Amino acid sequence: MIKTWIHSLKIFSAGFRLSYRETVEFGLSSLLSVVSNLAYVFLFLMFWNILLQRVAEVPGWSLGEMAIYLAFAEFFHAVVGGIGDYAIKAYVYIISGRFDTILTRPADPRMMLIVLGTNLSNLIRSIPSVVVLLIVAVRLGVHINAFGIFMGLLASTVAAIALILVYFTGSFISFWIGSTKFVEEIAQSLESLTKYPLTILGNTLRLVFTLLIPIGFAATEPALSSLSKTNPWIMIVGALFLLSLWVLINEIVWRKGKSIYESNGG
Amino acid sequence: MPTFDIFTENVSKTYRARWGITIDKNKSGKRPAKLALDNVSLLIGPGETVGLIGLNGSGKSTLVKILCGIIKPDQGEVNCLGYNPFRQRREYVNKIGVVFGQKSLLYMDLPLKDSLELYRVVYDISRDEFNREIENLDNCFGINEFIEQPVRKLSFGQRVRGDLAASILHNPQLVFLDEPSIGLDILACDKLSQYINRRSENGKTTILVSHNVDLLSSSCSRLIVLEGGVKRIDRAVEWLKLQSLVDIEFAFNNVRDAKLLDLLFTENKCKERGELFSVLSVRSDSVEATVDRLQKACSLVYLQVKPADIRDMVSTLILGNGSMSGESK
Repeated sequence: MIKTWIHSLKIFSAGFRLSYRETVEFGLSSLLSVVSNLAYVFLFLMFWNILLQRVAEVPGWSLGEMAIYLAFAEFFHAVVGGIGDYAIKAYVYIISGRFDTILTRPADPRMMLIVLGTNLSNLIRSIPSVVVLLIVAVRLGVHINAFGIFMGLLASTVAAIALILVYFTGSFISFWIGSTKFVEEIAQSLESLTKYPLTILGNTLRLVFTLLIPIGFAATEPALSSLSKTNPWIMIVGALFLLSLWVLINEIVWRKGKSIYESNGG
Repeated sequence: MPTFDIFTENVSKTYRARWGITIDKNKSGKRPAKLALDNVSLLIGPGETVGLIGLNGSGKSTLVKILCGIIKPDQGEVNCLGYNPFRQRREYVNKIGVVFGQKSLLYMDLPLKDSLELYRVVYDISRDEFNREIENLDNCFGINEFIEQPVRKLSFGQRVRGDLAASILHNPQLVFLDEPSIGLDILACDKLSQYINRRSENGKTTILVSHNVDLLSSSCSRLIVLEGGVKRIDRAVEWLKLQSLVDIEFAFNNVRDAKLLDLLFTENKCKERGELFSVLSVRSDSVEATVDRLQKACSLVYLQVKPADIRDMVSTLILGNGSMSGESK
C-alpha cells in the first residue's frame, strides 16, 4: 500500500515536471494567460463594486469580503483546471478506445488521466490574481484570519479534488451510454455557481451545494472561515466528508463501468 | 512457475446490445449484440512469437484486449504470466508491453524523451536501466535521431516507433503488438522483425496482430487464424509451409511414360499444360517425390521449383482452406 502511494507520488511529480516544461515551452502564452486572468479579476471586482454601490446590498458581503471570496474562487478554479482538465474529458478516451493505452499502464487510470492532463499554467496564472485580491481586501479594511485562510485553502483544495471526482464519475457514465458530452455542460453550470457566494441562494440550496456537490467548500465556506464567520474545523470535517462520499461513489461507478468496458476499434 | 505465458480456455465475448434511438419505426431501438469470440482456447509458451491473423472483425483485437486485461471475457479462463489479466490488471501490466499502432499516448507538445521519462517513472525503472534500454531501443528503432523533437513534429512512422519505445521500455516478458507496422518504412519493419526475433531468442513471448505478411513471415513461429470469433487454425509456420503448395515449372522434349505423366497431372493441381512447358502445384512435402516421378515420365530439359509463397499461404489461411485447418498436436 505504502509502495503504491510512493509510486503514485513519483508519477504525479513526473507529470508536474512535464507540465512545467510545457509551460516553459509556451512561455509567452502562459504569460498572456496570467495577464488575461488579472484582467478578468479586475473586471469582476468592478462588476461587484457597481452592483454593491448602485443596485443592491448582498447581505454579509462587502466589496473587500467579496475580494476574499473571489480569491478563493480563483484558487479553486486553478486547482480544478490544473489537475482536473482530463477528468471531464475522460469520456472521449472511453468512447474512442484510447482508454486502452491507459489501462495497459501499471497505474490507476484516473491518476494517469490526471497526470496526462496536468496543466501547470492553469495553476500558475491564478497565483497573481489571488495575491492581488488579498491585497485589495486588506486595503479595503477587511480583517483576515490567517489560520482561517490556511484552513480555507485546504478546504478549497479538498473541494477541487471532490469536484474532479464528480467529473470523473460523470465521464464514467459513458461506459454505459457512450458519449457524455452533457456532463461538460453540467460542469460549466456548476463552476458558474462559484461566481457568487452560496449564501445568497438561501439555506436549502446552500446545504445541497455544500454537502452533496462540492461547490460550497470551493469558495463560500473558505471565505467565511477567513473572515472568522464560520468554524474552520467544522468546515474541514465537512469538506473531508464530502470528499469521502465522492471517493466512494466514484469507486463504485468506476468498478462497475470498467467491468463492462468494451473498448472500441481495432 | 507456469510453463506457459498465455493460457486461455473456452474464452467467449459478446459485445452487449445497446439501447439507442432509431429513426426507422420498423426497427427496435436496441442495437444487436455481437459475438466477438467464441470458445477460444490457447496455450502459448515462453519464447514463442505468435501471429494472430484473420479478416477485419474476426476477433483478433478482442482477443488481444482480453489477454491484456483491458476487457473482461464473458466466460472462460484466462491466465497470462500467472495472472488473471482483468482482475490483477495493475500488477500484470507491469510485466507486459502493449502497442496499439493507431492509439498514441505521447505528449504531443514535448520531445519524445520527455514522454519516455514519464513512462520510466510509471514502470519504476532505474536511471541506469533506462539509459541502457534507450540505447537498445535506438539500436532497434533508431529513436535517437528524433528523440529531442516534439512529438507533434514527428512523421507518423517516427511516432509509431516512439510509441513502440514507450511501451517496451521496461523490456517485458510478454509483448502484444497490434498493427505495429502501420506507417513504418521497409527498414523500420526489418528492424521491428529483428527485434521480435531477438526477443524470441531470449525466451520472451510476442503476440503479433498484423496484416503485414512480410512481418508475419519473418517473425512468427506460429500462426493462429480467427474467423468470426472462432479459432480456425493454430499451426506452426513450418508445418503450414509444408502443407502449402509449391509450383514446379518444367519443360521436356521426350515422353518416356505417358501414363505416369497423365497421372501426375491428374493427381496434382495443374496450373498450365503445354507441349513444351507445364506448371504443376504440389504440396511442399511431396516436391521431391513428384520431381523423381517427372524424371521417370519424361526427359526434362528445364526444371524449377518455386518456393512456397508465404503471401499466398497467409491469404489461403485467412480466406479459409479446409485442408490446412486444425491445431498443433
